[in-house]
Amino acid sequence: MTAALQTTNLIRRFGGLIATNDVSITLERGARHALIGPNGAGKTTLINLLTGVITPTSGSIMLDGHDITHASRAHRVALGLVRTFQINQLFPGFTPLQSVGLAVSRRLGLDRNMFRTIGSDPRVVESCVEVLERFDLIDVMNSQTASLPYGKQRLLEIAVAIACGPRVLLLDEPAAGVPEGERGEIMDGLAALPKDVTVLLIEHDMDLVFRFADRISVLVAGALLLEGTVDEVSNDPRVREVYLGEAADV
Amino acid sequence: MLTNLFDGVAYGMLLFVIACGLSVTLGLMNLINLAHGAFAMAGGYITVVLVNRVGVPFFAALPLAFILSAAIGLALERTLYVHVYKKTHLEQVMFSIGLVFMAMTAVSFVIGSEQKFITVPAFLDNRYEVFGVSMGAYRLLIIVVCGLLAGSLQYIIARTRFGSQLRAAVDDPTVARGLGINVDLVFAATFAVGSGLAGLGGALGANLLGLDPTFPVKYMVYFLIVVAVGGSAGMTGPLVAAILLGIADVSGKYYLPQFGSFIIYVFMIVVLLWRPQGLFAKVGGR
Amino acid sequence: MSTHAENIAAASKALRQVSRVKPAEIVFWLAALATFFFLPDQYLLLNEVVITGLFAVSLDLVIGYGGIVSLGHAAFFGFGCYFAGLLTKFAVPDPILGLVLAGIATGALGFVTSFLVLRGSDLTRIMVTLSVGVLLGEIANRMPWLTGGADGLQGVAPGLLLGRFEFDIFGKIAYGYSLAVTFVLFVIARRFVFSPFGWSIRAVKQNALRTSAIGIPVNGRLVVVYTIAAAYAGIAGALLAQTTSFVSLDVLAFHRSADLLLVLIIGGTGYLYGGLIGALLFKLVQDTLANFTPEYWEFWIGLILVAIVMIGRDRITGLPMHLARRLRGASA
Repeated sequence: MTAALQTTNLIRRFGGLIATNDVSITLERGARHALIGPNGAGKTTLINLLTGVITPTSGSIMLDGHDITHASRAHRVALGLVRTFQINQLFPGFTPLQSVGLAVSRRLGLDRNMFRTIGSDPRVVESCVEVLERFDLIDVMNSQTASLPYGKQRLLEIAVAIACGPRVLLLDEPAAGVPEGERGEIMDGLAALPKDVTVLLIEHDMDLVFRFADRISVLVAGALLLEGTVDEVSNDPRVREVYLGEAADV
Repeated sequence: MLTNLFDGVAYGMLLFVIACGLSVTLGLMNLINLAHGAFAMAGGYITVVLVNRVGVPFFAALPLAFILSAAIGLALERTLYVHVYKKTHLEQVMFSIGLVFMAMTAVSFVIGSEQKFITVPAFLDNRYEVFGVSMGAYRLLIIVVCGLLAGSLQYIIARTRFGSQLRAAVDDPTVARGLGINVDLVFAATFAVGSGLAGLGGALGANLLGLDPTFPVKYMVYFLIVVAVGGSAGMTGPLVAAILLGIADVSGKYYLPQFGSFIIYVFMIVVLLWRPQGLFAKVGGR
Repeated sequence: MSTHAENIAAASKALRQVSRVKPAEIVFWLAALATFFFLPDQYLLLNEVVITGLFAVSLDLVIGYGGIVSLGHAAFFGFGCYFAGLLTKFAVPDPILGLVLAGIATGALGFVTSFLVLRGSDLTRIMVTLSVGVLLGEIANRMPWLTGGADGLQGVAPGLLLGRFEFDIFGKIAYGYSLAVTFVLFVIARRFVFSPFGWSIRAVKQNALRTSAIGIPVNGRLVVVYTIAAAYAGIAGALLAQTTSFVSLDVLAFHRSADLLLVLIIGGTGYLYGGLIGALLFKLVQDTLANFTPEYWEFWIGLILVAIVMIGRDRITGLPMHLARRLRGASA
């Protein structure tokens, strides 16, 4: 069974610095996989490698059997690899409905149309509503994105990514910056992710990680320290050592 | 040919002195100021009045041009520009174009629209033969003065405390404020000095470049080219860009007169296509 | 809690709401049409306003929708003007055909130069667009055998419009022609900005990173909007050539681009009507000032520019803002 996402011996050097050191990760279809590690461990570099912002020094990346190691960013999205950003990248002047609508139009191949109005295709509307309902954004679907509370914006970030119809979803710290009271919404949102979408979650919030993930990979100084189930990782003494000083409820 | 080179270098250094203020304000405050040429014009006209009408000696008038242009710059910065820092680039463009319109028409109204010449000391009309290269004394003066200015600027930025505060503020104003650097003071001082230098450059270059009310618009493109091509990250970039521009323009006009300023524009378009952030910009510059 | 069906209906309605024709828009165009019938003394002035308006709408597409700050849009206007002028004078007297050809030619020019504005900062784009504009002006200046040089291209006499109407000296047919062309092009543009393609362009302006993360090719979109805007500007220029029978170097001058930015600042960007409203207001202001101080009216224009930016568009524009809200609908 082809893995949804697989990196093999991925290495990325910046001059003398090895940011990504022989990283091999395999995600099965529908996996709920978390990637954790202290600051500076190279998580962002890894995401950038996966999404095509930078190219690896060596190693390969396979998406559903396709070799995307050197594919362009747009091509990866077309093949179903979508990411969210640690700092919201939204359309401040659009409403959630419009933002999701654009992503859906793109997925359905309608975005190049210059003559029809965006709401005229019922498939688009259906898809938008489905996504908005899934992430509990229906009530605010007509509010300006810039006016939404931060938690809702974070959810919208995820919703827009899902609207792209991804096979593999990379979530870059979805709870980052979200006030304590709104964390619950994020967790609900993660729980609402479609089951057939493979998810790689990068997070610092251990609560979220333990509740959401089936398997965890631990990245330290660019290399994989270990990988295993939630229980295996949370009980491993090396992980506790790495996180000494960090607020981890293990 | 070497004379062309010499003339080109002089021209370029003049452009540098005028445009360096523009480069720094762009890099420091993210401000696009199309009115920068107006300060150069101001310096030129101030010198005209001081030398031709009041009878101040030319070499005494130059520092005065610097000081007065700096003063005007400071006044405008504190009253007007400070409100425009946070606005979009489009609004800054509109704002500065508005200022230019006002400056140009005001000058035309007060002084008149014919070209003005500064009566410079007679010895500056001499030409010298050095190693077979014919050099005009005036241009030689320009190269010397501008060279000294460029050198001092580099020294100030690299070696003095103000210079390091400036570099910190350019790099990250928020962090700089957090460190206790009075960023507003740095902005104001930099703007003033930049305007002063522009004024000085305008005074030095008035006879060479042609001083009339359309000066800011005529030369605005050149200053912008220096900044766009040279980048706004330091002094070296604009200096090199300015000298290249000067040489290209002078040589172009000499060897291919029918193309005139074509060369410049094509040169700039080519450079910007190759390196959109300018020749020397830091990575992630603006 | 609403049902799924209710949500669908609400979403459908909300999406279509934005692009529905607002009553204010109908009023606007009826008023425009009325000027044709009730202001015969002002045809020449109105013709200028409408042409400037179309030109401004084209720049709005670039700046307000595409987010590209261009200081050289006059290049397309001037190119279209000369192209149509030469075409009409020497080859194709039919005005509409000449218009279409000028539009296509200018669009091609826009397409070819579009790659210049894809990369770089705002300053880079300003520089590059400015240079292209100045370059074109220089070229025109140095080809007097083609362009008439400083004297301009004279005797551009278009043939019968639609085979029936002759351009009269009162400017009636000319104004009607310009108005009709502008209306048609405006309707097309309006359709375009509310289409999925148009939305994707607006998305690029707001957040190019996110737009490409959705899988939309940012550069491709910018090229298209720039090309279309160039074609529109070219048609506006062609209208000028055909309706005034004259083309001068002035059409390529920098002040055209600068004045146009002022038009958009007055009228507002991002909702298409800004160009038209701004053109009208600008013309009125310009005429008033020119009567007041014929030599130094640019001073007051400059002052207005400074004032508008300093005080902030939103606080000054009471009535036009109200109008804009009516025309804009839910969002721009």
